Amino acid sequence: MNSHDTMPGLVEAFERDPSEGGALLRAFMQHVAKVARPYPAAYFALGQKTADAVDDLGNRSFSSCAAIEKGRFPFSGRRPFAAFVEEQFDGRTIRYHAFYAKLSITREILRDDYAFNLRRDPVLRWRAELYADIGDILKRECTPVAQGRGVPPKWARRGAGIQMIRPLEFAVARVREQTTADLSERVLTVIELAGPQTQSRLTQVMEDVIGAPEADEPTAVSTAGDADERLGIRSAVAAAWQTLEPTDKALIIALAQGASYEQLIEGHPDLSNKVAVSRAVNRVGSVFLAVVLDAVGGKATPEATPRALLEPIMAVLAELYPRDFA
Amino acid sequence: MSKELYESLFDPDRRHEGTDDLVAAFARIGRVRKAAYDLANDEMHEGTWATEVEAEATAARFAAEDRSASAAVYSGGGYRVRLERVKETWTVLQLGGPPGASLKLGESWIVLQPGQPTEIPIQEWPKNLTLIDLTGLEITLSQ
Repeated sequence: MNSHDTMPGLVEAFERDPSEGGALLRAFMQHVAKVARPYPAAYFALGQKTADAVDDLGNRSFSSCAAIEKGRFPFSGRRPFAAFVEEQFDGRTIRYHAFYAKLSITREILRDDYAFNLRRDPVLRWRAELYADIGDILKRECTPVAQGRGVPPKWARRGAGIQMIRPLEFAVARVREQTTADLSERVLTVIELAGPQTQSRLTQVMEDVIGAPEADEPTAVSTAGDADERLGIRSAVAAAWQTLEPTDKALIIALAQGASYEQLIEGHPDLSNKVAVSRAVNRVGSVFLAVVLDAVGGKATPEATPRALLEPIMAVLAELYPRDFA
Repeated sequence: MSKELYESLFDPDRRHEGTDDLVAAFARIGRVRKAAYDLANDEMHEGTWATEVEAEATAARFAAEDRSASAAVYSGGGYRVRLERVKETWTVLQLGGPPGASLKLGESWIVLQPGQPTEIPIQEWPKNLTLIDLTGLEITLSQ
């Protein structure tokens, strides 16, 4: 342990007396700013990488370490600061878990902000949809190749024998020359030429080849409507939710999670016949979604697309029933 | 057939009648939500933007992904259990909640004894655990 390393003492002092957090917070800001440097704007609150956004990240990282119990290793249900003190971590280990590790507290917040922006920002949502489309192709045509614990698999062509692996740049250049607009053909060409790839790497490659759509307007994330409107949706959702049967609720949760059919049936075998699914779909549409939209005065006009109408319902479900929807 | 109907709800090219179309639109939002989280999570696990300048993974004493032992706490409905893996052995320890509960793992029921670790037959980290309390109530425990 470095005898001049002040980090363990700062954390210990803060744990003893939370009013003694000034120096620790300043240290957090410095390290978070360093970690944040390579990340693009899509990873920050409101999709904007500004000094304020980086400060906000530092503050949230500090709050998370101070107040949020984490289940995973090495925290085991403790607040990170409490775990750091109890385990007598040295400064380097504290900084590793708080900032620099691939799965640090700071990077978890960046991941969550990025996931939020991917859902809300029109251009980034295109990227998320591209990732989902590529996932469908990979599941249909390829086989996963494990890379080790905690690392996403690479995907190889099913039944492919020995192949010559070319550099990825070569494969990208070849795909650019193709006249086809078929995503499946493009993805499989990259894998055939450059060997197994991860789904996220293929998404980056395809985005580079196809080009993301232009944003029609500034990509700032819009927040939900005014408080009254929000309250109206909230009470309509809560009331309609109570009228549903358990299988209807299971279907809504599975749809909101983008769960596979197998995952749905695993938890609810009674939904394994077509009549049951058909009935649940009908009830979810007529007894839940249509009722909520009617209650809040929503109509599917060109200005109010189903997505625009249904997004707030999804957001309210996540607030009301975080265990199932968050 | 029920699989086909369910999966058609996520397909952007499929049209549905009446309120089923609303359900399909809802499903497509769910598909994007899942994809958004999975993509962000993949990039984090791949270390797309990570430069571990402060400490190399091999030098860190407690690099979670490099250790053969690890643990996580699952909670719900007033119960807390700690699941621990040491090499290929998995044990569960009840940390909180009334005694007499069991964990349901497929067809097996594992009786929990507060304060005493019990070995359980699993191979990977579960997303959730299902606990049955003394009254037979099923409770989902999550991290």
